[in-house]
Amino acid sequence: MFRQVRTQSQDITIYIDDRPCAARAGDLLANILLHEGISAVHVAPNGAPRGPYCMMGVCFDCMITLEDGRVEQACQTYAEDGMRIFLPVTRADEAGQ
Amino acid sequence: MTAGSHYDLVIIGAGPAGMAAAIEASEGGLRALILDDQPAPGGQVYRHVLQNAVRREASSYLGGDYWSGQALADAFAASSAELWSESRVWQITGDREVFFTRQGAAQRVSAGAILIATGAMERPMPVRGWTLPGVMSVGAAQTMLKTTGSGADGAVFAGSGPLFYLTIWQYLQAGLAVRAVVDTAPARMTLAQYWLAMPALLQPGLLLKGLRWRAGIRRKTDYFVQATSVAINGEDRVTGLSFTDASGQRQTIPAEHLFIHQGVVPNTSLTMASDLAHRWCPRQLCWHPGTDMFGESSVAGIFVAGDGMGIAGAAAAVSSGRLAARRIIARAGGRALPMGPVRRFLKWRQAAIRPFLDSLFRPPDEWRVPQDDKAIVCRCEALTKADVAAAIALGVSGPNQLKGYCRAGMGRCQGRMCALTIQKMIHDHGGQPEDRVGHLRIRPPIRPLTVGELAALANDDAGA
Repeated sequence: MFRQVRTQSQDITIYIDDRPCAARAGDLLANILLHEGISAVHVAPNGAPRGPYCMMGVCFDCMITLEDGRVEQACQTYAEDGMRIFLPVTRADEAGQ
Repeated sequence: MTAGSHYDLVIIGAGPAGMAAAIEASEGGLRALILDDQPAPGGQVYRHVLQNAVRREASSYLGGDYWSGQALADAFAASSAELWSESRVWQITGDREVFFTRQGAAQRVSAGAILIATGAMERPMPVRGWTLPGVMSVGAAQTMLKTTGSGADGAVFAGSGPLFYLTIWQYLQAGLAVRAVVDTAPARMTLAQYWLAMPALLQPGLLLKGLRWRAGIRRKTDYFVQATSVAINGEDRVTGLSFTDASGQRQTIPAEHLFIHQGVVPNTSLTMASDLAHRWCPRQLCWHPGTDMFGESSVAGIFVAGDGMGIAGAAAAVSSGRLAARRIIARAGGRALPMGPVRRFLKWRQAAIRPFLDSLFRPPDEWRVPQDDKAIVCRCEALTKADVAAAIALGVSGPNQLKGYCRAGMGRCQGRMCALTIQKMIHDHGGQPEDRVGHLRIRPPIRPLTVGELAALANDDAGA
């Protein structure tokens, strides 16, 4: 599990598949997902789960869906209060495996 | 309204090269604009440096080289150059128009000169299992340390290269537990490498730093060298790493988080999509845009600086950015600053250790093409080595024809994660030199672009 090595206040709430999650404004969505223990966010054409890999916008394996239907790279998108993101692979799926 | 905006110089990328060029250009009286895809300047190497500087002691683990970026970012912020952050450039035309997406809308500016300073990316490391969730690049681990100050206890690091050791060192300095470090560099210190090490002696500080990191890592982690036949284990996420150690023993280490790395290469997406001539660098095993000594490319008025023109590190990037800016200032008839030979010397000195590092950390063939037929080569299309090899065996003329046969390189990443592997596989099959095999053709837009975003550009044009 990822953890903070320095203290950081959490000042906003975002929603991952409708589940509220405390975060800090301006955090990378990929960072927040990994902190929540979610490493699989996207499904490859062969059906295999994928997740954040490069964290710099190169690999396109951290695609997530935003409320307005936009598909974005979680490592290139920054958290705002009330933001809702949707994953093809949920944490429940991961936990159930 | 952006349709009519014109700048003397438009710089793409606010890393060390881009910031240095912007500072120089504004001192030389040019109207300069930097477009950068991050929210704040710094590039990948100095990422988040101004935000972290607010409470510097909280991130002291990042080390002195990182903090040296603060002065540069401060000087850039104080310059008259404009910064448009969160701007994703997707096309540059030969008549020097720059197209990008910002705030959900496509926009464009025109430029007297363009400087592409888009830096480096990590060389793909296609081994069996590298697509499993929980496997990330070492650069990704470092990005998380820099941006949110987060890391994973008990992680395993596998690979080699300067960034590999720097990041492990930063992990340890931050108080994170590192389960194991698996160095995949082969044992070889040949006569040629001793020769290459000669200029590196000009930078004894760098050599000593490397040795100090290694000694610390050896002490604090399970440290393996000369690892071969690496395979990443797991079904739906990573569970561990298997490899053959230096004594020939098969080792398996459990891992919840695995970080892999085998060096960096120029990020050539934009330079290639802009039709600049490139040449294959057999020493760094990657493509470099061809430039003159000032960084001007094969297309007049389009310059390249920093690691995007060849890997030489942050200090050399600053020198190359300044040099390009001076040339552009002189060309624009502005106040020409003297082209000091000292600058050139500094550039050479800062780059002096490179031939040695390139040689020491040169990726061996077994890391450039997977050994295992089931290893994924093209991540986006989920094509294995066997899939790609079967298509190559049909007799492809090059990477572009291969796309038509199996879709390799046609996914969202536009070949960033597979082009070098595919090129090597075609080379291995047919025997043509790698520079002749060539790179996948890269076309704009180099970032995904929605029709809605593009429509904003049409409205702009209509209103202009």
